[in-house]
Amino acid sequence: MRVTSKMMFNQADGSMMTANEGVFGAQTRLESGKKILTPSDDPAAVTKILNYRTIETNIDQYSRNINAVRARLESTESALGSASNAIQRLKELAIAQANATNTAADRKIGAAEARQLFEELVGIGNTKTENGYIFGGYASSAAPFQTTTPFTTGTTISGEINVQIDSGMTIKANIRGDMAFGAAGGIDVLDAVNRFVNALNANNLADSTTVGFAAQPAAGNAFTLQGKTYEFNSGGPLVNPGAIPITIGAALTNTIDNATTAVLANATNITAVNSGGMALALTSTSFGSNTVVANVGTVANQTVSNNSSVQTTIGEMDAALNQIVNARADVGARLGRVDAVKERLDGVKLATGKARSNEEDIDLAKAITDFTAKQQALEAARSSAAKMFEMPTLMDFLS
Amino acid sequence: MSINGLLNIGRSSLQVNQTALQVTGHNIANVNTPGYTRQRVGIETTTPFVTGAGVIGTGVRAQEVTRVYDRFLAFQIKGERENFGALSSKKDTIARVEEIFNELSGSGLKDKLTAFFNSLKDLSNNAGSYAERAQVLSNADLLAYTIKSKATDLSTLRTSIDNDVKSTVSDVNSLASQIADLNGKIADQELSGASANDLRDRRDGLMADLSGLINYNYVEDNSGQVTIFVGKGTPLVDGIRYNALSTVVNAANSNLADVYISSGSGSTKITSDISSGKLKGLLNVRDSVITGYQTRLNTLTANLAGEINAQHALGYGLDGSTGLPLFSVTAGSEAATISLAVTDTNKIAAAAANPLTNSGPADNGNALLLAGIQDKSIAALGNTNIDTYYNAMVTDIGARSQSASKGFEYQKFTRDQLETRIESVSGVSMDEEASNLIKFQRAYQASAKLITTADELLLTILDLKR
Repeated sequence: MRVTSKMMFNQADGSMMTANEGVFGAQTRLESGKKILTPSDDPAAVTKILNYRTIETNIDQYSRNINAVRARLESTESALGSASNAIQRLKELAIAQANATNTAADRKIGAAEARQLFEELVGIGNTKTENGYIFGGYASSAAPFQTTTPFTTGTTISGEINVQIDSGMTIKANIRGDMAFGAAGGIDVLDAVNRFVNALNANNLADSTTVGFAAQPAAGNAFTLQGKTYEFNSGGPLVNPGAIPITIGAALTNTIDNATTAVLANATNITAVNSGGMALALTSTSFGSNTVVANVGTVANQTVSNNSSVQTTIGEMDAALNQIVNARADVGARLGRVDAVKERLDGVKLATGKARSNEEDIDLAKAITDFTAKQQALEAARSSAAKMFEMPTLMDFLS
Repeated sequence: MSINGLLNIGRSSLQVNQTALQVTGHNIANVNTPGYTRQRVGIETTTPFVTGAGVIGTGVRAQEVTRVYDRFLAFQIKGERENFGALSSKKDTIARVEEIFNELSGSGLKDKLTAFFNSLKDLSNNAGSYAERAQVLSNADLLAYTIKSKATDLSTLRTSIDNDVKSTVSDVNSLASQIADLNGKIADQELSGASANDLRDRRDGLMADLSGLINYNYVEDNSGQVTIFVGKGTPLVDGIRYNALSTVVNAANSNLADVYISSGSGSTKITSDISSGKLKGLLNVRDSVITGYQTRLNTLTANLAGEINAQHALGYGLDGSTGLPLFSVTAGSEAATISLAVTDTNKIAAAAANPLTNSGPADNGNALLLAGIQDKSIAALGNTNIDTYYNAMVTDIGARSQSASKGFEYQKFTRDQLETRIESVSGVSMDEEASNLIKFQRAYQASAKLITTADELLLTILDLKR
């Protein structure tokens, strides 16, 4: 091939330019620590890097969520721990006070302690953290419980707060207040404790239910107790289908008759007691007070109050303790699950980080070698260009 | 045959070698002139005498100064230059698109997208809190702003490429006018039959420049003038006249310019007939590549806003508000118009039921569902989630930029190879010229000696008479 001087200059220029580019690229990679600086450097690797980054940031977020869940569950756990201690103490109190040798005065003293414990339980139910009332469900800004009836405030406390802790996995971060302390969990703990206090104060050793009327029942008015309907008539004899004596308080002018079916299966006395003038009281040791059902029927302004006995409380406190312990176990299990997920996520994050680093980070030793090689190429190009420039042409030999 | 004949031979040789030295000098002088083609003197013998002793030469004559030029190579490199122009402008402009979507630099849209969804997840941890709500609003606002600025960047890039198109069109016109001008000069000079070497070099250079800008076909007529056709065969240069290209704003294409050529029969649109050269690269990126990504960004935004808004409308704010969208977009230009529709933190619908009546401030039911949109497969996005769709878009830009840049490198190599071959044929070699210099100098010296010899012969004859 015919080689002209311009070709030689172009060649020298071109190879120096290429070598310069090579050194620049190697230097940029070395200084940034990254193999890939723009998506076009390696589109296939970029897909992977972006996916790895998504996984990593998601895991970071899940870890934050897990920490939030942990904080909630741990405070729930400790609150429930205190609650179970309080109920344990109430149960001991009930056992002690059920002893027949205790006097009314003793029970009054017990009642004071039980009331303290009741208030403590209400306080526990109203535990507040930076996320609001932890037993409040969705109603995090209003105290879910109070010391006067109704013990559970009107707002919905049945909300369950789900938190996402992994892709496609959510976990409940709270224990519903009504499940731990309310009737939804099986027994209304606060109500039971309150009745215990009242029973101690009233020195009640047996359960009773009082049905009160604000006005004189008229003939034809009815009410239901444990599925049996009782109807008032006007002075007629009391038909007592179950051979169970029902006595009517002095102020109740109407008698009860026309009970639709046999009354209670067990021998139970239904006595109407004179309480505030107009009341019908049922006395039975086998009534779990909360199992007595009374409906309004047709009697105006009817009230039903269940009067627990100290005896009954022992069983109820067992049930309450069970309910709290179960809730606590639930929390414990969730904490375990959260930890397991966290451990898994940490593992995945580590592996993903490594994989991403493999794709985008330079191997330092290799990068330095590469940089040196590129530098040498540049030096070679420069030195050959310099030699070429020094090279005489035929002109130099002509004189 | 006479001594005068000998003198004539000497004279002709002096003349020819002087001419040759002049051409050699011209070559040396133009060794670095771009587009210069080395020249050679055609040398031939003069008509000989026929004598009884045989045919006796009468000397030498310079025939013609010609360019050493490979017509085939010149034709071949035109196509390579056109492709080079197209790929070069394509590579440069796609690199600018890539800059807009360079997610590896850590300041891209993806970060904002992730931050937005993460703040929704934080909100679900503590739905009633002002801090988390404010964070959602600020991240949503930043996301909307980032999407909008990407959309703006893309349309600004289109405008800036459009300006490039306009200036390229005026470059084409300037080249066309110079070529037409040279056409006239070449024809004038070649009327005498001699080749207008330097003017042709200049015209070749202009045509090489033109081929980098726009693809064309050309024919050369007997007078040495070229006719250059562009588009569907409309002459851009016709003899000493040229038809200017013009740009006309196309309202249907975001007020960007179309390329027209005006000729005797009126103006013809040639935008879609341009198939190579810098103009093609610019038009391709402006009207196809960027619009493609604009559409994808719009699809992404439309689906993001659509999904979030639909879910948001189902939930309830702390103040019991419901049915509200989080983002506001204008259909058809979602990316360019997305903005935040909610400014009151209490109106962020984190709750699945009305917190005032049916649940409470901690109700995070809807926040969870909103955060879940991040992982939701959306049919309109090809059954991928938002994040994957965007990743694919970024990778696609990267791949396109890479292939444009590789295509450019390859084309550059091919073009440079051909340039080298042309240089190899037409370039000036100093060694060669130096040896020519000596060759012609020696011949000149010998011719002078010949004249001296003839003179001595004459003197000898004149001395005979003494």
